[in-house]
This record gives sequence, C-alpha cells and structure tokens, in this order.
Amino acid sequence: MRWLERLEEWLIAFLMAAMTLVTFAQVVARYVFNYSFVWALELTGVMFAWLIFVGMSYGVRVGAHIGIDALVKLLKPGAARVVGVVAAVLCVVYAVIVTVGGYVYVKKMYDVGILMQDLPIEQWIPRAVLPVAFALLALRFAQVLYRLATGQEAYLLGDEAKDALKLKQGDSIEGVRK
Amino acid sequence: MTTVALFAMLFAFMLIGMPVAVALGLSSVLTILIFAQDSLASLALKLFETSEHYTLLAIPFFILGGAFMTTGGVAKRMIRFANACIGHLRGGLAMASVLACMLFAAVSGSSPATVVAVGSIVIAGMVKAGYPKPFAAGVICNAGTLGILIPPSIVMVVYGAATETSVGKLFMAGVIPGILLGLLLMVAIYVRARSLDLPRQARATLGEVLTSGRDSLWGLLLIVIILGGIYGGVFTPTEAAAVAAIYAFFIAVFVYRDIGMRRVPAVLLEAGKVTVMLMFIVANALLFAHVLTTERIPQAIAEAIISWGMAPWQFLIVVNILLLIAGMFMEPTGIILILAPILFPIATQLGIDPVHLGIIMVVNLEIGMVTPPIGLNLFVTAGITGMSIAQVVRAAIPWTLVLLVFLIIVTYIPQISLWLPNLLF
Repeated sequence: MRWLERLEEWLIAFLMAAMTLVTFAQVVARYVFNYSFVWALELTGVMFAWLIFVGMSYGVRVGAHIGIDALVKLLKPGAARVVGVVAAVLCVVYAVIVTVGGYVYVKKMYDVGILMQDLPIEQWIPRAVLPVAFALLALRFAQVLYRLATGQEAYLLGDEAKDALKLKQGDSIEGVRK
Repeated sequence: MTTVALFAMLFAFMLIGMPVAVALGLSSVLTILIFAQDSLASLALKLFETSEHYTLLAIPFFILGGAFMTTGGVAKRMIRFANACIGHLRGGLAMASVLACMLFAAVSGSSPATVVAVGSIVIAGMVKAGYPKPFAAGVICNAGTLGILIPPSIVMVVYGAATETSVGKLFMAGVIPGILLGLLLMVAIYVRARSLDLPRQARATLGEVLTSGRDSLWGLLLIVIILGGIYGGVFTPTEAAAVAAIYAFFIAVFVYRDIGMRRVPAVLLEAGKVTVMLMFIVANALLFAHVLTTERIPQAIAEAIISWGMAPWQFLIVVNILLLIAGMFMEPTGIILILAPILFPIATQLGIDPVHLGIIMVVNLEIGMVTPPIGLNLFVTAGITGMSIAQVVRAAIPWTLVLLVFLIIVTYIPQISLWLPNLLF
C-alpha cells in the first residue's frame, strides 16, 4: 500500500504542476510566438479530471473531506459509533454505484471507439480513470468503515481546523520532506 | 415528492456526518435511480463533465497561487505595511489587521486561508499589545471573510460557472464592496477601541511606510496581473489564474526566497488536496443541480414566486434569509451550485443584475462562514487561537453584526457592486 500512497501524492503534485505549466505555456505561446497548441485545452481537461478523481480517495485517506460532525459529536460514544458505521456504509454504497456506472459508461465509449477532438487518443482512455478511481474510493471508505467498526477510529471525518494549521506551520505532507 | 425525497436524503446524510460531497452525490444518485429512468452511465458522465468546465479550471490555479503566497512570508510583509500605515490610530493594530486581511484577500481566493495567514500572526501580536483575546479573534474571524469578496475569489468563479456570468465582471464588482466592508469593520473597531481604551502604537516613519510598501508590492502585483489581464482582454480568467500561480511561485521562491525549490512539491500537493476537496463537492453539487433541473424544480419555484407578484426588494429579502440559513449548514461552493440555478432565473425576470445577485450571494456566504454549525472561519480561528468553538462564536458575533448591516447596504444599493464593472466593461 505504501507505494500506492507515494504514487498518489506524486501524481497529484505532478498534475497540479503540469496543468498550470501547460496553461501558462499556452498564454506565452499565443503572445510571444503568436502560436497556439490546439491540444493544450483538451490535455489540461484530462489532467484536471485525473486530479479530481485520483485525488478523491487521497482526500479520504488524509481526512480532507468536510462535513457536519457537530451532531455526531454530541452523541454518546456507542451511538456515535453506530451512526459512524451507517454513514461509512452509505459512503461505500455511493462509491460502488458510481464505480459500476463509470464502468458501464467507459465500456460504451470503448465499444464506440471515438477519438478525442485534438489528441490522437480514443476517448475511453482518459475516462477509464472514472471506474478505477471510484473503486479506489470504495476501498478507502471500506477501510474507514473497518476502523470505525473495530473502534480504532472514533469519527468518519477529518479535522478541518487542524488541517489549516498544518498548512500554516508548513508541515510537509509525509514523504515530501522539508 | 421527488424534491422532498432529494432534500430529505441530503439533510439526513449530512446530519449523520457523511462528507458533504458524498451526501450530495448519494442523494442525487438514489433519487435518480428510484424516481427517474436515467442510466448509471449518464450519472458517471455527469460527474466526469465537471472536469470539462473551462471556467472551473481556474479553481486549482487560484488555490495554487494562494498556496505559494500563504507558505511564503507574504502575509508578514503585508501586516508590516498595514501597521506602518494605520497602526498609530486608536485600536490601530486591529485596524491594521483588517487592512492586512484586505491586502491578503487580493492574492488569495479563500476566506479560511486568509484567516490562517493573517490571523496566526496578528492575533498573538494584539494580545501582547493588550487587546482582549476575544476581541482580536472576533475581528480576524470576520475580516478573513473578505477573502471571497475581494478578487480573486473561488466562490465567484463557481458562481460565474453556474450562471454563465462573466468572472471578470464579478471580480471587478467585488472590489468596492470589499473595500467598503474593510472600512466598516475599521470604523467599528475605532468605536469599540475608544470605549475599551485600547492602545495605539508609535507612528511609523515615512521611510518605514515606503520600505514596507515596496516590500509587499511584489505580492500585490498579483491582483494587478489578474484584474489587469482579464480587463485588458489579455487572457481569460482561467489563464489569468494560471499566470498568477506561476507568478506566485516565482515571487515566493526567487524574489522573497521564503521557500526553497525542495519545498515546492509539498506546496503542490497541499494545493492539490484543497483543490480535490473542493472539486469533489463541486462535481457532486453539479450532479445534484442536474437532478433539480431534470425535475424542473427551479422552474416550478420560479413560476410560484413570480405568480405571487413579489417585488424585487421582497424577493431579495427572501434570498438573503434563504442564503443565511443555507450558509449555516453548507459549504459555500455547494450552496452556489444548488441555489444559483434556482435564484438566477427569478432574479433575471425581476430585473436584478446577475452580477449584483452574485455579490449578494458572496456576502451571504461570508456570513455563513462565521456562523455555526458549519463555519470554516470559526473552526480555523479556534485552531489558531486555542479557543473553543463556542468562545470563538461569541467573540465573532459583534463583528458579524457589522457584516449583516453591510449585507443590507449591498443588497439595496446595487450601484456599490455595479458601478465599477459597468464603468469598465
């Protein structure tokens, strides 16, 4: 699992950088060289999609997704655990439904076999990220579910305020050290 | 029936502590599966289409630019400049903190980020200078909301994408209200400072004003590039955001030298994390909005409200109340994506300018960020001060009243928002 986590982190950082650079290069090319890459926009779109969908499960792992925990925190520990388990099950259900939908969709695109507009790739290839990423999301939610059910973790959501602080103190994300 | 089920599921899922994004997504998915005949594949496509929305692409870039500016000592330089300018007035340190929030808001598109960047330095400073801690925390918690009113603003980008309003115009429309709100907060501080007899600082020399001004100029040029570039037609808001991100990187690494090249991947990852958190909500909120539209819910509500013969000013009262309540429970981008499609057509029919409606929504959402139970600024302020959420809520209330007064002003004097964009575009 460690290699998958490193890969996730580097992929996210890489996609952020690449999207920005491609868009920036597009502006420079247009003004300085009076030239424009037709494929830039489509490529950036693909990278954006990959960023969002690869990032979802990473977000679950590091507790980045926000929600209302005020009510759950009012409950007694036992009740909070039951509610937490129910919530986690529903999260898994969501991820599984979209995984199936994504698979059906990509399968259709594969059968039709249309090329993308400007890039010489078939459309189903970038879109294959959909079922893969949602399957990964289901896995991450299942892990949370397991930890909640076995009592290793008390709450489903991460702590947003603590997160913001981490950003401030410049705590680097594990693996990418100062 | 479908509408009731949709919203009932959404609320139930949110209350049991599911992530907002999943609550939005699952309630939409289940509604479609039960009541409509849409295929699962079309749902997946809908989620994927989020990434093909060109305007939304500006979001990761603005977040990245903000991340470079937050990690670097940009806030520190702006605070020094603000202090040099107005620190000598009574309550000057607090007023300078508001000014620093305004300056930082001009490089950051997010409210909690503004609170963290400015607040983690100035709150301790104010307490040391003899200000009561709740006073300092309350001021910053509210002044930080300027992050989404003063351009660039992620919330405005989302509104622009949801309603196909020009993001450039929205940014311009935020400038004067942003300055006005800053001034209002400063006046309120001055009044309170006199009655509490808060200290003033020694007047800074002109040299200090100029040096600190020049030092923070590099950061402030960012907003000049964004607004100037969009206004001058040099680039689209999305391109402006990418250019701003590259500029922020350059300033932080090579000009200010606050961070080394080796820290860059960590900043990228942090910005990626914030982007993903936000875009996951956006994608699912778009799915939710899609369900609303296929059920013709916005049209039904619009017809009902118009058939009541509401005057525009009455409609705006309803809008404000609705948004204030929604703002308590939901995250700003989610609210925009769900409510903008409902409110927008009604507003257009009643002759309310889309840009003006956008600014009204943003100001409402600012207030939403400082009201419990979901108020990101409250959480963040509690985090940086070590106060409890309840203490921060109490500390924030007097200043939130200023925000409410400001909301009424902005709602009923559209010229405050529209004068600048109409002059320029």
